[in-house]
Amino acid sequence: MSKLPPEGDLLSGLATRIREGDKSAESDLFLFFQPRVYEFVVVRTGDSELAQDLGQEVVIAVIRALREGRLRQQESLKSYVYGVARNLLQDQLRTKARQKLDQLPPDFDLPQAASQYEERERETVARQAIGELEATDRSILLMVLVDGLKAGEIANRIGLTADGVRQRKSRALKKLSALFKPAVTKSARRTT
Amino acid sequence: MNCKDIERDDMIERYVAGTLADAQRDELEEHYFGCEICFEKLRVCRAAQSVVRKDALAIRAATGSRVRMFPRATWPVVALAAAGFIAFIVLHHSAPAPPVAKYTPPQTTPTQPDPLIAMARFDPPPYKAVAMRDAGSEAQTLFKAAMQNYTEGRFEQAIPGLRAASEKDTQNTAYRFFLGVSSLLASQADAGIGALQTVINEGDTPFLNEAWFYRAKGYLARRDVAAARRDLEHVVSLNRDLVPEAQALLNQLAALK
Repeated sequence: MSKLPPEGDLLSGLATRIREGDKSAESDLFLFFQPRVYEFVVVRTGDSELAQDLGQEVVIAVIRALREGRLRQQESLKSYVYGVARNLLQDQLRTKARQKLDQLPPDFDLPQAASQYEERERETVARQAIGELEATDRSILLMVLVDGLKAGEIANRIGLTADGVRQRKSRALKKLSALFKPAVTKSARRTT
Repeated sequence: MNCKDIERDDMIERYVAGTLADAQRDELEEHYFGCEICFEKLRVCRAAQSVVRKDALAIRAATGSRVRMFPRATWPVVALAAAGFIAFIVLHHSAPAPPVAKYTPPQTTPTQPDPLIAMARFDPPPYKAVAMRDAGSEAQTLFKAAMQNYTEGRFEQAIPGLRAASEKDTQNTAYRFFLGVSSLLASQADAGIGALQTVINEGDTPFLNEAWFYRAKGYLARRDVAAARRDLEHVVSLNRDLVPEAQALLNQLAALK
């Protein structure tokens, strides 16, 4: 698991550092929030291309606000970023023509964004782990994550108890998580 | 909301599956914007979802024989219906009644496939994303996301997006065509027939021929043989694609008499 400090320490520090003109803090903020915006947009719309564009646009808008000291002191940075992400996504869905940001504005020097390529890499890892599961566990993951069924409903279908379903699901996800850890740690190292 | 609540209520799994209520969804999103642990769990769930969604057909096929078609609570009803059916057969045949001990539970009784239901089945018509006149509109964004579900075999999940896209842009026949087909594939025959009817009402569009054909499939699922036959005869009379398939189904219907 990542060694990043809790939000209160890391993020409040970031806001101050950005206001003081620290460029490396802008990169840290980007690496922390851009993947979150990416996931948020993909889950909401299923559009990974839009997610990649908005991930960048949201963080740029937040950095601009921080540079200009527009974040109120008592306001949580994560809530602020989430609010900007929601607003920009809604604007995007309302807009007829897509305003695509082809390149970074000249006053920004940010790291590589989380992308569809990374998503495919994670999928490869997941496929390997899922391939090693029992057929019943694969079926449980399908019913939980795709069909949206609850443990009790799955239990009725496959003849297990709801607790049994939950245990199998947790075990399967933990297995995947363990395979993801090296990649996560690597990514966290990049942020420090 | 904290990490414990999220874990206890399977919120990340429900979020990924799109079944979380809006208020909980918003709270969870705000939470993972600041939480490393929940965010990593979200990424794991999304990667797993992507894999099992793509392999859905194979996974379902591999476990199909072990997964019940009916929830456990409905088994007494199913068992009663099966027992009633057996009793009916016994009463209408002169052969002696089988001893009760030979009764086999419904889940292991080999049953003859219903020919109409077998004829109603179909592979999803292929969808290829093409540049559309309304690219970038809200309806198109909804359609695109829904068709991702469609191409990956999640027909039930595709329906809300297709319905919303059809309501936002009533001029786009493709939205309603795929809404109709997805509804049929999700075993919602009435909704499918209704959506395909609106495609047929539009007259000569690129989807007209297929709309007649798949609506016939919907009628077969509803066991409405006369309506299915009428639609299939339309497909043959239009003389475009799907004529051999329609003719084959008409022949099968004739053989059922």
